[in-house]
Amino acid sequence: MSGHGALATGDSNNPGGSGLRGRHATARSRLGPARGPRSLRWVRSLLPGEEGTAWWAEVTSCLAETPDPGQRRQYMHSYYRSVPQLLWTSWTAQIHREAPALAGVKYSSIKRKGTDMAFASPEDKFGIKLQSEPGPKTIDQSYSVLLGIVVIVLGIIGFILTGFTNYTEMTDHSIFGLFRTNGFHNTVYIILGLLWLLGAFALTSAGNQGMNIAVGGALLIVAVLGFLGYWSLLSIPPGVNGDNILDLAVAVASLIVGGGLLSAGSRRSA
Amino acid sequence: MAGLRMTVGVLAVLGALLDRPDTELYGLEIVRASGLEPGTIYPILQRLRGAGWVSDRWEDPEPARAEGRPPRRYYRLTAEGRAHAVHALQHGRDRSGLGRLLAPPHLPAAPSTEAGPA
Repeated sequence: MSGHGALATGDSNNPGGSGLRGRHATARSRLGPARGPRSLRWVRSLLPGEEGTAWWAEVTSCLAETPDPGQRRQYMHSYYRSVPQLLWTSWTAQIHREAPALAGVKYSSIKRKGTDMAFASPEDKFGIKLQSEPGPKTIDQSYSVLLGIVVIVLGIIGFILTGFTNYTEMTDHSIFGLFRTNGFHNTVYIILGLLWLLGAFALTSAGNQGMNIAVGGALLIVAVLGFLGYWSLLSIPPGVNGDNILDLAVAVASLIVGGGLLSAGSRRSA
Repeated sequence: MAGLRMTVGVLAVLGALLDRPDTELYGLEIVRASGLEPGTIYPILQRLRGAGWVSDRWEDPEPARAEGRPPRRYYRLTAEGRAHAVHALQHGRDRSGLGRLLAPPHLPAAPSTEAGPA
């Protein structure tokens, strides 16, 4: 062991020596355990701060004390395989140290993950409002109230225009001269509006955000289908028109609100 | 638990350190004791260090040089880490049958007395 060891220090003093790979096989086997893991050195420069030096020192130490070449090769491979994990762990640790809030450490969602869902109330599980105070409180809930009212009003105006005859036929009626509609389309407006109001008043903020994501996603599909011209049944002509633009705008707004972008902003500034 | 996920690897490393709680172990010793590969244990030790469960110390370069090898890095469980490790080995292993199947055999058998969290 001491013979190997002497060579080990020799090699670690000269880690950047010429690459002997393959060409001097005998020299390499004679150098034995200390044959520097030079092919791993580049990893060091990818690690943050002191971590690179520390990791490299540990790798050298570990490989220098593994006399069996087969074993050493296996360990080298394991270091290779661990590079993605190593990078992830090192950099996330670094970010956590430097900017804990940025890395999400301060967010309550972390605590949530620790709760046992088996004992969670329906409020925590599904966002059905039980204990929380009634009424819209957050930005996304106010958005749902506003949108719900607007859409229900649109539906009612639509019914005043179309009446209840020719329920699913193509009609020439249009709300404000912009949104072509028929009876069935008006019903969809009112159901969507009720859904939004329900989300605003009966769900928690998180539940309401989830509902907005679902409705926004569905409306996005509806808008795309509308631009492609699949809603002639609802008397919506294909291409760019009021109805399809309305669908798209509401879809995008709902996804933004549902995604929590606005409320996250308010939470941070508060 | 400081966001530390109790994977099979983490439990194996904790088990290796807990086997000899009063001695410091260096990388290769943990490799041998845990049955894992050095590339695997390093990021685990990184995370354990980050969570404060494990402290590390570099060996003095002088005696190492006298023995003709690079200095070793020694790890040991902190007091906090030891408490967490005992708890994790009792409960973490029970959570999935997979962990019990894959955990290296040297791991101390979980005591039958349930010292559950308050």
